[in-house]
Amino acid sequence: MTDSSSIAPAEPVEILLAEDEPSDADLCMRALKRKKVANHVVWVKDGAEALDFLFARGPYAHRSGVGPPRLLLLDIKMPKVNGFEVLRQIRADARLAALPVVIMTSSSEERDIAEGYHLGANSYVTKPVDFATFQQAVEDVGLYWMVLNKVPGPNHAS
Amino acid sequence: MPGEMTGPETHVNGRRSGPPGSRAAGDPRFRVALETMLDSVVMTTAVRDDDGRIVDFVVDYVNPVAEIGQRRAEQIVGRRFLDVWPSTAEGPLWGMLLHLMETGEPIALDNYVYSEVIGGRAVTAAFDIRATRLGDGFLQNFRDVTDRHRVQRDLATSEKRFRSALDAIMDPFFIFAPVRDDQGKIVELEYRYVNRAAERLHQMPWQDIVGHGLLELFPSCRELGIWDTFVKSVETGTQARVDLPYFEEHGVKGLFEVSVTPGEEGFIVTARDVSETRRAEGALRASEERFRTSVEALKDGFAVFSAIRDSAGAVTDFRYEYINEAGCRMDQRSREDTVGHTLAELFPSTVTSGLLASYARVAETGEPLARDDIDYEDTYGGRRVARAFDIQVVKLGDGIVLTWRDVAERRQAEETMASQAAELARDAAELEDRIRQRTADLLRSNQELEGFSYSVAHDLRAPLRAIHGYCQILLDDHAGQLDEDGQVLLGNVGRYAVRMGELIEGLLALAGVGRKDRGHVRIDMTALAESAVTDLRRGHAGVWPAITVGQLADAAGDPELIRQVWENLIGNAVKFSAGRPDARVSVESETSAGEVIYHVHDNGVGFDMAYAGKLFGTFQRLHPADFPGTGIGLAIVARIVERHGGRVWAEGRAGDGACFSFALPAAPTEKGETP
Repeated sequence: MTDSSSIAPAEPVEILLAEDEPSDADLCMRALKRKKVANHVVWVKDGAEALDFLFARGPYAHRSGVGPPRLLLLDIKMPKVNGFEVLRQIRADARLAALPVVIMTSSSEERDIAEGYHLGANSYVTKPVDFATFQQAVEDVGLYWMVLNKVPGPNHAS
Repeated sequence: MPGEMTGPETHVNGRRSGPPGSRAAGDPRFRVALETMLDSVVMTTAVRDDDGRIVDFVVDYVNPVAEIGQRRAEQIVGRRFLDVWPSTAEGPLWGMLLHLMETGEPIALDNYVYSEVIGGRAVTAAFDIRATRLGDGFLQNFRDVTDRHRVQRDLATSEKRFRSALDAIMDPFFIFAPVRDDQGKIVELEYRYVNRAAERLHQMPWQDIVGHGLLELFPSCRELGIWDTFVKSVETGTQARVDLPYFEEHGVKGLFEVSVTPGEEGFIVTARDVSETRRAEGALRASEERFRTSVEALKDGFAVFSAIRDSAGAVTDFRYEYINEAGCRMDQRSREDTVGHTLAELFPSTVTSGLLASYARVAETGEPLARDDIDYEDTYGGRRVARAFDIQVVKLGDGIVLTWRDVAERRQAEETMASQAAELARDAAELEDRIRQRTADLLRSNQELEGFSYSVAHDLRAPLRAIHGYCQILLDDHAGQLDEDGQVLLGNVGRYAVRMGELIEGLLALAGVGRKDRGHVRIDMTALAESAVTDLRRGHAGVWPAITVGQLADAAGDPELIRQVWENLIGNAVKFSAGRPDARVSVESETSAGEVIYHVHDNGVGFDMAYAGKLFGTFQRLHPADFPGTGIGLAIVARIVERHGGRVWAEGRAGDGACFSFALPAAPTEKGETP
């Protein structure tokens, strides 16, 4: 649990992880670092904090002008503001419209999956209990969206 | 006629002088006697011809009584007898007079009828005549007996008529006279007269009856009670009447009404055959009784009216001739106070309401009238009451028959029924509400339960993932710090965490059965089962058995859920026959009454039927050591099938294969498809 969001400096962030479960967040970040997919991962514990971070307000006001992360790993079941609401607000804002969002959740409910894609999620990953599978999934997502996927640059969005 | 034949009494004294020149009247005493006699006296002297034969008589004297008709003595005396009474020559008297003159034998002739035209009128009179020879003439003394003669003659005529009348009447008629013994006791009743009908009844001529006794001819009269009735009637002098069953020897059977009328010289008995009358009366009485009983038993009012008409013949009112008990009760007026009175009198509102006029039309046209729910207000039992009736009116003779029914009771019954129905509907609605409420409650609690198990299962996964994850990281990154046993133990922790994750997945799937409901559609079961086989094969490692899917009957259901049934059952069959080199799985269906049954056979390890009941329970496993699995697959199958209104069961033998079956309600025929 290194890169706690509360101490995130005003520098570019590769991955923002919105996850209320500390163990999941920890395992996820370990998996991402293990294969050197991303060095700079910021973890926020709920949807409200995720929005503050993304819109550079409240505790994250100092990040104004820094630009959005390259990838958002978003849990659905979170306190305060859930993942769907976070996704809705991201897609409603022109500056964040192109932000790749991967939903990572324990839910394999089709209804949730459908809702996620409907709101503009780029991918939907179910977190398995088996760590090897979980690690593989996280690595695949990171690799794809951080390395292979090309998105419009920050200057593109204004 | 006597007044004409005999002179008035007043003339007697005026003619005291007597006939002049009369020989016999010469003696004044004799003369006075003759003049005061009530009988007529005529004295004559014979007139003879040359041969001495009497040709006539000269009237020498008549007393005043004999001054017959308008003729005075002066007009008679000195004249010839046949001149004065010419008709005498034609009757028997003339011969008798001649005989008297010849023999001196006196004449006594009663009821001598003499007719003569006097003063232009035919006059008939009757006389008792006595004549004696007196000198060469006769003294005739005659009395006018016209009145007596008439009475006698009338009597005879009357008796003759009476007899023929008695003979003519059809009823037997008898006259009896009692015969008494020394003590005055009646010992016999003697027939004095019988008419022809009586002869017929007795089947004897009157000669064999009259003069004989009743006991003599009909000894059975004592047994029949006739004797006593007759005797009692005679003794008491009272009329009696008795019904007499009459059994004739020749089989005639009947009932006579016998009446006895005591008379002066005996008593008259008439017998009348009343069999037919009584029968008819009986039938009439019975029919009337039946009618009356049925009418009285009616709950409806029933009254018979005669029409009252004005001089022009129009019906103006109706008079009660009969009313039944129910009618009296409804009218609140006794029968005595009703019958004989008129409708307008007792119920004035029939006039004002026009009801009476409509009844009159029925009486005049014969067209029946039936009306329901007539509101009617009138005085009942002294109070003004508004009521409602159903009425029916039909014409009967010159009048009508009215039946009416108070609809208040019916209305009340209808209202009661309506209120009961409303109450029932309210109850039903309430019940339905309660059921709906209960169902909603159940659904909600079911959903809550499912939601709860889903979220529990979901929340359990994160710590499990953490346990497994950290175990794995330890093993991956820190294996050097643990000995071999420690690494094995850590590996076990991770494995059990994974296992628990599988169980939770199963629970989630089971909970999901209840959460998923996409509605039922027609399912091509052959295609679905084959598709399930394909999917199973794709994820399968190891020996794949020979699987045959037959032509399966269609089903109706949620295709996704039914697919899961196929996957679980075929997956089990594959799993439990995996050890055999000749593993075979076959899928078939059969259609029976109202349902389709699907079977999945395998020739795998089978199971002991003793545990068949446990197969479909949650987390029940018969082969935990030898086969992977969570023990939740068949529970899911059972739950899905039951949700579709079907049933599941299994048959098998340990080491000798198994057959899992499920039945679903037969799919309805598709619309537009010809059966």
